[in-house]
Amino acid sequence: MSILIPILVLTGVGVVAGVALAYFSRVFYVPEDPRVDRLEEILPGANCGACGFAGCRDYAKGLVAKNGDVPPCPVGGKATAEKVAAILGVAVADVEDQVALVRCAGTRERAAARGTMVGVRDCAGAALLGGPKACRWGCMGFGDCGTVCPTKAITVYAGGLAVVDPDLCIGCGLCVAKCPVDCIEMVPKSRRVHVLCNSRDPALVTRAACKVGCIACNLCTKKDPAFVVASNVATFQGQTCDPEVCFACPNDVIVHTDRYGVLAFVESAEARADYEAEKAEFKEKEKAARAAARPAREPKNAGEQP
Amino acid sequence: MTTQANPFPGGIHPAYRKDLTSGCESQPMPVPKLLVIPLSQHLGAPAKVLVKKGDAVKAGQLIAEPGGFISAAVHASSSGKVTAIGPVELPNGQMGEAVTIETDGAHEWARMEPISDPLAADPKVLVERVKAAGIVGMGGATFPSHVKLTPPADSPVDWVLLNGAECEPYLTADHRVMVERAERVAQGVKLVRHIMGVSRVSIGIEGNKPDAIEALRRALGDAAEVVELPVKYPQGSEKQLIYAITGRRVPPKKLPSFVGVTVFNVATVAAIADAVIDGTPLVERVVTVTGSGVKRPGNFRVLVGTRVMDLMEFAGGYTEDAAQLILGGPMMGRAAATDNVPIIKGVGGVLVLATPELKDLEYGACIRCGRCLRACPNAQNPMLLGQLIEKGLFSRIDEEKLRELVLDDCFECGSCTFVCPNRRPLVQFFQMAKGYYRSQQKRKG
Amino acid sequence: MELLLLAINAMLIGNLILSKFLGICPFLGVSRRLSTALGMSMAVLFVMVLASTVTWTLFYSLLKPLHLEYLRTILFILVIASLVQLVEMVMQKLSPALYEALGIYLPLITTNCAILGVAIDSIEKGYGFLPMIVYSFFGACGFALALLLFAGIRERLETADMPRSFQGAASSLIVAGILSLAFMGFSGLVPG
Repeated sequence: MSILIPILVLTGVGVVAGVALAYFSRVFYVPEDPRVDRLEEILPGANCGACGFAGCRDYAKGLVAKNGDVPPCPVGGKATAEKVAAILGVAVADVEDQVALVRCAGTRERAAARGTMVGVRDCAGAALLGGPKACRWGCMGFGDCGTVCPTKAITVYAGGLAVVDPDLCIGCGLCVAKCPVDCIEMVPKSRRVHVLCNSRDPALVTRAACKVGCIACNLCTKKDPAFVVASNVATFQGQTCDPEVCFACPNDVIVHTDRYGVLAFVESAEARADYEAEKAEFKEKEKAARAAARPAREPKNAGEQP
Repeated sequence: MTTQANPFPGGIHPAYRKDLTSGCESQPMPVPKLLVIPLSQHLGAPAKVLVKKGDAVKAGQLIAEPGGFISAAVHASSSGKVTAIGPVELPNGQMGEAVTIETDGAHEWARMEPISDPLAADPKVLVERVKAAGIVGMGGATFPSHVKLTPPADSPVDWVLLNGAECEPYLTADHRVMVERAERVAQGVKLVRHIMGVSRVSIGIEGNKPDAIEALRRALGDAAEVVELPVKYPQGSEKQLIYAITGRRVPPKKLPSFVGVTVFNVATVAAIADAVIDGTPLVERVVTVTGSGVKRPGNFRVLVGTRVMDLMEFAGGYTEDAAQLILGGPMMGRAAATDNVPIIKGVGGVLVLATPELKDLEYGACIRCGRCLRACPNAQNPMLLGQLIEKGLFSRIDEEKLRELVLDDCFECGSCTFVCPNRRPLVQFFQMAKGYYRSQQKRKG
Repeated sequence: MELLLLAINAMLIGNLILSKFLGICPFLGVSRRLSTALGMSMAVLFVMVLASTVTWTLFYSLLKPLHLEYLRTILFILVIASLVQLVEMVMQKLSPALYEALGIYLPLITTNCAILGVAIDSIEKGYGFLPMIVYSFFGACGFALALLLFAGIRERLETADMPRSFQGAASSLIVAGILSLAFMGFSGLVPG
């Protein structure tokens, strides 16, 4: 019999608490858009802040408040943008997955030095004094970008250049903001061809400063209109191109990632040797084709032959 | 009359090494073959260029006009032909537009009309003249002087200070100006008094320059009082000087005019007198070339735009073991990667250190001894700020707060770095953080 | 006088975290930033006083007359859990600003054993109503003191150069131990 009392008491208190909770949850109900929760679920959850909001939930709130009229989540890329658009019921913004790219191939051997950096060895400090390289636009190689990378996708290799691992990069863009010389750029993940130079200096200055600088000679733009030259530097703006177009570059700053990874192209001596051999072979072929074409008087551009 | 100076809190006593050059009378340097005259030698907007390639110019001819209210005119330092207009490396390591002049050696002048009886002239005319002469603060901050001469109406100035402290080790350029051009400084003081309509002018000189104090006392008479300052670095910093002489404290983020004070460097005041009385714009300044890495240290009257390499050649060249070139003094100057940079209006010293003087540059962790706290003239906490910046945490803690502390109060005197027993580059950390915030602001637009 | 002694005892000598080792989970969990530690402390202060009041009333009006003292632990857990939920809801509706500040800490408090500890302790020690309020209030103050001290130290520690093996949780636990030792010094405050 005495067992009943505690059971009753506990049940009683439980029921009272439950009813109270149920009641209060109605009386004090605060409407919150359910879409916020759903959006938060599909966002990457990295809370990196690259979108400009304080974390993913804040971004979700911003999305709902402005009905999708905020910059897309750079980490989530296309897949996330589509899901967000579905939940909000708006059209998909044109987003593409992006990765960071360090636009410099000027390793210690290739780029002329300006001075030795003593003291605080990082880019922000070096930039105040003009940097250790004769080139004002290239990677200084102290790795400030690597310190902000949430996935540790950026490493400074032996040649003194930071290189982004495109497989690890989530495209948050924090490194772009950190780089004091603006030599990191966000490029579409699908882009296969990159011009690895950032020098906005005129050709003579660039040539004096670095063996692998873009001198805006326009030889690549003649072969493929997807190359665009602006402020003394070429950029590839298409998806991909014929690998042989890259050989047009007199200073070897164009990398085709189907052939060589950016890292290998910049750092590995073997990859470079391969590239040179291929280029020499191609030049030979081009020369032969030109020689063959001349007597026949056929206007034919060998460079565009696959 | 003499007043007792208030010692400011903090500060350090580095080895001054001024005896290398303090007795060297300033010698005029002959006109170099090439002059590289940057358009941005002052704080504020760069000047707008008025000449083009191939133009013949004369000494003192205006070649660029002010590009805004806070900006300054730029003049050709000697006669010759403009051979190039384009980016060159500036003393601070950054690139900037400059006019390159190939001189003809004749040094033909094209001065402005001298203003006769300037003390009876309208102050506005005199300010216009100062503006036209491109005069900027020659102590290093290079703030355009005409702006300082016209303080805003809501903060009237009742006390003008002249900065002759020259607390920076090694440098003796201002010292020589005070000794050799005491009369000119006195004339300049009278002009500034007239322009600003103030009755009280004081000049602060560190006690280690008794000849300068003597010369100025004689030249100035009743025009200004000469205050002998205790020898302590950074006595020549604006806020510290104001406190030492007037006892007024300039709050953080405020200009000296907030407490009714304006400060001019002694060389600037002499340049004002030159511009008004002779009509000569600011095309020449005294530069101390010193350090154990220089063969013939001395003070030289150098044309603005002279390349450091030419100046070094005139100073006998580098010694065998010369290792580091610093533009400015050892405390606040900047290391230069090349001597192919021009002397500009704000560079008062070229210091070359030799290998034996350079210490081991490795630095260690903060041991929390607190010496930097005592040395900081601004009563900040360099130790904590330095750690936060070193660890790259400055975006994580209250960014606004850190910015306020670092950006707006620290004037990079380097006292904290000087006293650190573990050789931590604290002031370099602060410069870095400032540079970072500046670039962030630029990105935000 | 009695109450003053009680307050000092609750806050310093018998500090909840550092001498009774209650509420270690938020002590280690939300002490990375001083600002979050402050938010947590305020939330604990609020809930602790409220929960102690409610449980004390329940004990003396329900359990004591029915001779069911042995039920207090299970009952208090039930009451505290639903109370925190309730407070969260009320706060969200009536004071969104306060909710923004404390809201995210409230669910964490549900499982904070310091709340239950104080509630049971004041019954155990047979405090009357007023001493119970003082005890819970100053107990929470002691909690806040320890948490804020610890968070401040941890913020500084983050800038320190440490061997890898000491970084993170290891150094935190060592600091917690040293703090606890320091608080033991307070036991000399009251003779006997």
